[in-house]
Amino acid sequence: MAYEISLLIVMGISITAGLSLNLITGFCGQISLGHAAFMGIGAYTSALMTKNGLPFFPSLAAGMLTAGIAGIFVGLCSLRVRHDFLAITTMGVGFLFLGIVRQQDALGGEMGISGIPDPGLGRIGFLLFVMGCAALVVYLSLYMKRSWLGFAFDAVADDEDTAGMLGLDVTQFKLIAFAIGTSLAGLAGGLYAHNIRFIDPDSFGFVESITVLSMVVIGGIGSVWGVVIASAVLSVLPLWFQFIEDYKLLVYGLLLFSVMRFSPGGLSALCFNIFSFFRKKLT
Amino acid sequence: MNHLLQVHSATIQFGGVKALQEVSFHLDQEDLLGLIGPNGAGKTTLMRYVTGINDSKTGHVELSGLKISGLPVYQRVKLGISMSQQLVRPFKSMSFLDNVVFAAGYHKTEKPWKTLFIKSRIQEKQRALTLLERLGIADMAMEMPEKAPLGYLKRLEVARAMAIDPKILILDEPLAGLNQREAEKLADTLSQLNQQGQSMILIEHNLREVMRICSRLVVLDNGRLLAEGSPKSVLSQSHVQEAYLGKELHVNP
Repeated sequence: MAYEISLLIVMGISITAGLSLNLITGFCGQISLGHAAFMGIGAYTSALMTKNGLPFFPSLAAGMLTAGIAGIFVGLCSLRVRHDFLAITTMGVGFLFLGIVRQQDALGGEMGISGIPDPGLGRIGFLLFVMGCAALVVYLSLYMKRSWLGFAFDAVADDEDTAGMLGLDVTQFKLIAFAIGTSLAGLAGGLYAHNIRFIDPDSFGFVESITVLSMVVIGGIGSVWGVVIASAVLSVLPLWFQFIEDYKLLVYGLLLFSVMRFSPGGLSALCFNIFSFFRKKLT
Repeated sequence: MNHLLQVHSATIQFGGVKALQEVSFHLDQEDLLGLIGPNGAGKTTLMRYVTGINDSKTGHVELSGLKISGLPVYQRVKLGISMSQQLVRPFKSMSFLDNVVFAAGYHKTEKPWKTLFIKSRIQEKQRALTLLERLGIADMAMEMPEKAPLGYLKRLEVARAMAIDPKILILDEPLAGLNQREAEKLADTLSQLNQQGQSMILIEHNLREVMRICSRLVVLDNGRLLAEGSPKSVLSQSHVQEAYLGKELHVNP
């Protein structure tokens, strides 16, 4: 039972992380290859606070806040870059985060932070809390898609110059996407830190950023349910099968490649195509 | 009295090419100004200068006496300048209807943070449908723009530009890609719109329609202002005819 609970917690955290990137990359069309850095900021902030005796929930909120502020800052710096240049810039942000954390003794340096306190909810309580967070993020994503914010994100993702020609303040909308997406990444990071109760720079490295991006791309960029399923499955696969853990990069790389080659719209587009194929056959 | 729009000596250079040289012109309330000239004359560049896509260090633009040069594109749009592009750029992920609905919701997207709490699109849908009908493309409302013919996409551009209720509607070759019957119909629609008080600038090669509906003409050639005035007086000038048709050849028998 304890094992299943751990699996479900990992799933819930991954869903939160996957959807947080989906808001930025899927909804607003801004690619990010450094998303793990924001999870890291949330994780380090909340872990340091609970280690210093502060309660869990305010620490988690503080982690979200710092990650969100960092997200707005990075967003401001990358407003002028687009597409592949944005990919490289955000990748740089990820490495910058690692570079800083590794050199700071206060942040545990290479050794990381161990002995992070238990949130005190019990394993089941923590599971329920994580699932609650994931459910809220799912709800927020679905709600956002139907609001004018989601509508504006669609326009920005589609063609930001044209959106500007229709009077949309594209800059502000990009910043909102970064702010919401990165603060939710901070939430995922804080949950991660208090689940494993040990974090080090490698927990939030480039591979992690790519892992989260794979979840979004494989699920279907912009599709809420696609990303939920991809995040859930991809997060527990390495835990079920040792060889996937050993060859994680290879497996994820292969999956990313196959999706891009055979179904650029991800799982959601694949399901949609299969569904319409059979519907045609039936009628 | 202030003109509705006044451009003072706009000069724009792309590398070594002078696309515009000291061009000044104005637009008055309820004008339907035709901006004509041969290809490469600088018509689109001039309008992109007005909307702020191309900026120049010299010269400036005034909207109702208010200097707007230096402002970013979206702010000029909010102040009332709307332009439909010559090269159509629909939102490919949205249907014809949604393309116009989005534009019609310009007042809802004005305060970005508030957009999260606004969901209703009913009014915008009504308005969008009316516009699509007025332009004769309501039958495509639910279609995606990807496979639509150019004539439809051109009119979608116009519908979107109209949806943001501009003070000045700038249309860049809206009639191109339409057959003569469609062109005539759209020109009629534009003329009606103008009679209802919409100020408009029309870049167009279809001289027949331009002559029919425009109240004033501005002619550009090689980045310079060639002529300005009523359609008849402008087109009767010999240097305008030369720019359009070339010099008359005098062949000795």
